[in-house]
Amino acid sequence: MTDTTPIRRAATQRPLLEYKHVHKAFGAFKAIDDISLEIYPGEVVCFIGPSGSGKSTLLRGTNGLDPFDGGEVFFDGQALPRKQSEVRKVRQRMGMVFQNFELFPHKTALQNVAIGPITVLNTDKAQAEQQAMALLAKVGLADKADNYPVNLSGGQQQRVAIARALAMQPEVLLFDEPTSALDPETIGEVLSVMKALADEGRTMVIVTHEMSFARRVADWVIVFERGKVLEQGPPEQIFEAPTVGRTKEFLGHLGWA
Amino acid sequence: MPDFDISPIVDSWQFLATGIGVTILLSLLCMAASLMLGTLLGVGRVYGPRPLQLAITFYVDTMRSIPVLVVIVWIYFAVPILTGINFPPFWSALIAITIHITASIVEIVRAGVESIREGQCRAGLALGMSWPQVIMKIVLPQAAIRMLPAIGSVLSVTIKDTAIASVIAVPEFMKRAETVASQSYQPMEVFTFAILVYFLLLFPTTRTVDFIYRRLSHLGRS
Ligand SMILES: Nc1ncnc2c1ncn2[C@@H]1O[C@H](COP(=O)(O)OP(=O)(O)O)[C@@H](O)[C@H]1O
Ligand SMILES: [Mg+2]
Repeated sequence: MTDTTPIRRAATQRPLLEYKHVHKAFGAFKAIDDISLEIYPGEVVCFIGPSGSGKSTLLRGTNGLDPFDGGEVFFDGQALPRKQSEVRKVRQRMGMVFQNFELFPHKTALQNVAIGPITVLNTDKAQAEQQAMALLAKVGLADKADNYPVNLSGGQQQRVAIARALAMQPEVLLFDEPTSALDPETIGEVLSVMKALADEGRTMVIVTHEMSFARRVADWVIVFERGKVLEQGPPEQIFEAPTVGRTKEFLGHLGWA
Repeated sequence: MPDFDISPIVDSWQFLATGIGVTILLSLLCMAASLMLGTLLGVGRVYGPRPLQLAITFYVDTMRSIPVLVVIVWIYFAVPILTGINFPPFWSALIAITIHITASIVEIVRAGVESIREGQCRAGLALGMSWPQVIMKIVLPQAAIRMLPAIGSVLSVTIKDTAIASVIAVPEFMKRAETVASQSYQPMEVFTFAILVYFLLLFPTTRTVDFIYRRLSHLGRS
């Protein structure tokens, strides 16, 4: 069922992220039911599937925010440590972008971006802020550096959140439905920032319901259902010729012709 | 209507003013100590291990069911008998009021900390912060803003509670007012003056906290 034979260009290298038989249950409910997957360096991988299928749970297990009950995640060849003090070191190398942005409301846009390096990496404040300014410019918000989140639109907040993740110079970026909480008119500005990051060759894992974005930007698409991988493949395959009937059904529900 | 003779107040103005100074000093020290202790215990109440949480809850519930007057007299009269340690009146009042007010602060801090969305902590942890860093840099600053109105009312309770310290002869304003009233046989003038003084201490204080809160409240919303 999980047919990985179609060409996966990046698959010649060692995976940057590897899930081996991970599972997680909430009570008797199996949110993640024995999933094994690889994410390769430089890949943009989109996680799609009906809501409740375990996509967010898988993402939160990836950086140990909600550890799996069993199985292992390997990041850059190393099993994700269970100890808080050690898993922190790994998290520093992974950026995460949330559906609700989760900017820190008591900090300006600039301070939000600079806080990671300042607190976690002990970067000198002036240097961290200079770097933060460059990142805000990169996401098109240099002029909003001194705004507090409350004075930014949803799309702007999410772009600051992306800059905040980038400030840690992560080796992989994890996005959990980054545009689901946005007004339709600001979705585009966030997606175009993400597209630019993809074009830089960054490794990105994106949970999304933006099918046309996934079709256009993903190198690899993984379809989830009930805590399992339903199907995975290059976007051409998943969107144009899914091999599993229920993938077709799911895409049909979203109005994907 | 009797005559309103303010001469005892004028004659004893220095004596009374020093009392106001002691009231303010005692209030500020109690408040500072309660804020520090209450924040520590409030954080322990939310994030600490289970036994610590239970111990803190027990302390808070106990203090809530004991009048501050009882705590003051107990510290001043009972503690020396039990332990042999004698605290001077000012210190007894400081300790007793702090123990009492801290319990309120614990509850305020707990509510403030719990009102911060879990996603805020996740965002900090995802950056690689430790839990202490998340609490210090993300949770407490936001919680502090949300806590301001409640802290403001505890501050005014604290100032009012210091008047109870007059029972153990702390030379604060209420004690001195009583002295002046009984020596001059003019309680009506002196105690009316006392009401005025407490009002002038408290009203601007609560207004100021309110004002600061209104300026900052938007930064505590996430
Ligand atoms: N903390 C939790 N407690 C109980 N059930 C949860 C919790 N988190 C997620 N779940 C359940 O696990 C399933 C998978 O959730 P999630 O990973 O959020 O799905 P998705 O992101 O694909 O929509 C859902 O049915 C959800 O209700
Ligand atoms: Mg989700």
